[in-house]
Amino acid sequence: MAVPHGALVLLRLILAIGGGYAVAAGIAALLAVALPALSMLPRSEAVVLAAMLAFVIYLVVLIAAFAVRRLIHLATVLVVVGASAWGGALGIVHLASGA
Amino acid sequence: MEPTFRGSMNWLHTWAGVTLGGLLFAIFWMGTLSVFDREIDRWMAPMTRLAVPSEPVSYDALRPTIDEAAAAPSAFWAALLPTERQPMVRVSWRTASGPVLRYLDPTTGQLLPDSGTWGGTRFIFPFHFNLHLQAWNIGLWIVGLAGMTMMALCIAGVVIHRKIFGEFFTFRADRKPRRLILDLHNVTGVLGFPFHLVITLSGLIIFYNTYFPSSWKVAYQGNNQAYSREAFDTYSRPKANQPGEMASFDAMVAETTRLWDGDAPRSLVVRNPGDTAAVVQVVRSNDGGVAATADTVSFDAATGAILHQRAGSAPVLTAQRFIAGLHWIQFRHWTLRWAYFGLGLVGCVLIATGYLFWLESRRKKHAQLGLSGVRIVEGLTVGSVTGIVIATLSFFVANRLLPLGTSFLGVERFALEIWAFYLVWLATFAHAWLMPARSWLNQCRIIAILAVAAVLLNWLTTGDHLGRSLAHRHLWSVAGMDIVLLIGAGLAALVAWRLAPRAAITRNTKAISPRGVS
Repeated sequence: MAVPHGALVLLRLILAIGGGYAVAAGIAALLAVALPALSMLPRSEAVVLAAMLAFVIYLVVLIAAFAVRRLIHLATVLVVVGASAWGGALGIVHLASGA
Repeated sequence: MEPTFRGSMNWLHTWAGVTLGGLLFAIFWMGTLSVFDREIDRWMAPMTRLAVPSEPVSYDALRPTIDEAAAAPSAFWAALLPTERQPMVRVSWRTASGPVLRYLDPTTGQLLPDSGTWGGTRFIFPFHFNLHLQAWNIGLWIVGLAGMTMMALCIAGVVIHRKIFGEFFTFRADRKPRRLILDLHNVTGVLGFPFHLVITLSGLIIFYNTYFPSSWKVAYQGNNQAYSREAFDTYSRPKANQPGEMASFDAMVAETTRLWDGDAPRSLVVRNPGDTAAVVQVVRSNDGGVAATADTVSFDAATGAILHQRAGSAPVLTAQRFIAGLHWIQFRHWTLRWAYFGLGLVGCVLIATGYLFWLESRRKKHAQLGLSGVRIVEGLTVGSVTGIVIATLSFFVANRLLPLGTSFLGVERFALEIWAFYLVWLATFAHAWLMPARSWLNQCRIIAILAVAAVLLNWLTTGDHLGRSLAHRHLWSVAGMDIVLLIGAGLAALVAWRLAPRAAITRNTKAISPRGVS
């Protein structure tokens, strides 16, 4: 089964730009709620630090997305990391508001 | 992507560069000009070429405009106070029909005539970060994506450029054009690397709340007010809906000057002007340091009593403000300002030579195979590089040709200037695609002619020729603009002169074999 080269490139672009953004935004959200829980960092400071680091995280994901050879590996890593980050962030918020 | 990491990075660098290079050039070009946005304002709005007031401004002279804002009624009234680079008071508020912006003479408090232009601060600077596409912040997001691409291009460029130290200063100006272009691309890329990376990352970090809202939205569960209060120590109080008087502005400013060890204010803000619960906020000048700080004292407008003081910020936010300040360069330092301008131009050269290298490496092959890639990308390059320069110069020339108060088919003067910019820019793309053979040469010639015309028109319409503008300290912004225009004209003429023999050869070859290879 031959998938056209153009379609693969398009899929990689979507995974890199869209998936990479979702992962970076998820890690930003996770850091923003996890850092105050783990350290003395005030919540507002954690928000700023997390959002600034997100640019660097996004850059690393973008570069890696074009370096990884197989798209299925890329997609798997993005889904696993993205889901854990978002899940962790929302989980901590839920626990904190429940407690 | 490719079998090796370097191969993948080469692919990424090549194709990200070709597809987004035009956009990146526009952002870099407008950003470079924004370094001198207020000087461009002085050039484009001659009624604001004023001397910096030697006497401190009387803030109470601004009262009539506050009464106007209160009558609107506007939720705020804001005044930016005169500085060396912007020697008048800039007052703004919002009416039901839109924002109001006024410039006042700082010594008399009198309204200056409408300048009829958006100039550098309202056209060139916003173009740099939102392309004037404000609906759903779409322009800001496009520029953000371009910024991320620029950083990826920088990293990928380092990876593919393996002999980075060996070729640090390799510049073979006498060799074949392709070699020269690659050397120029590498030299500007390597020498400018720290600047390009820092300026791009800092530009993105300015808008961290917009680009990564997940951070504050999750942490504060969407409560923007709670976030602002905690992070930025903002102060506000609700409107009382009772008309109220205002105590002396000058007394409040005198109080802040005492609190800030003699530092002057940068701006004044009145929240809910005309209301008994109105708040006057005096913001401290920060042009002595890099960080874009915003120390503020809030006064009760009616009594002049201090309600709230904001001084300094927490460490991480201070770091963010330093990074933002590094990008905004609002501090007073002319040497650094020129360095930013020069390095911005280096970035423009980097992007342009990247395109040229792509074209030169494929020109022969594409001609043999009958591919149209080179032709399309060359048109894109010409329009993106020389085209935007021509469009910018047309914006300046239109500014000097259109008399004040002109309107055409209901379009106001300031909008006509902007139309000139966009229409000329479109025309340069059309010219490059329809007449590819001599498009570089002819567009360079047009740049030289327009730049000289702009200088001459400034002289004719304002009388501020270089001899005069250089002699008066307050006209140095005009002199600087004229000198840069003349240097630009000289460079464009030089490039055109060097390109002319090549264009002639191309034409002769075509005459001999009109069918060519394609």
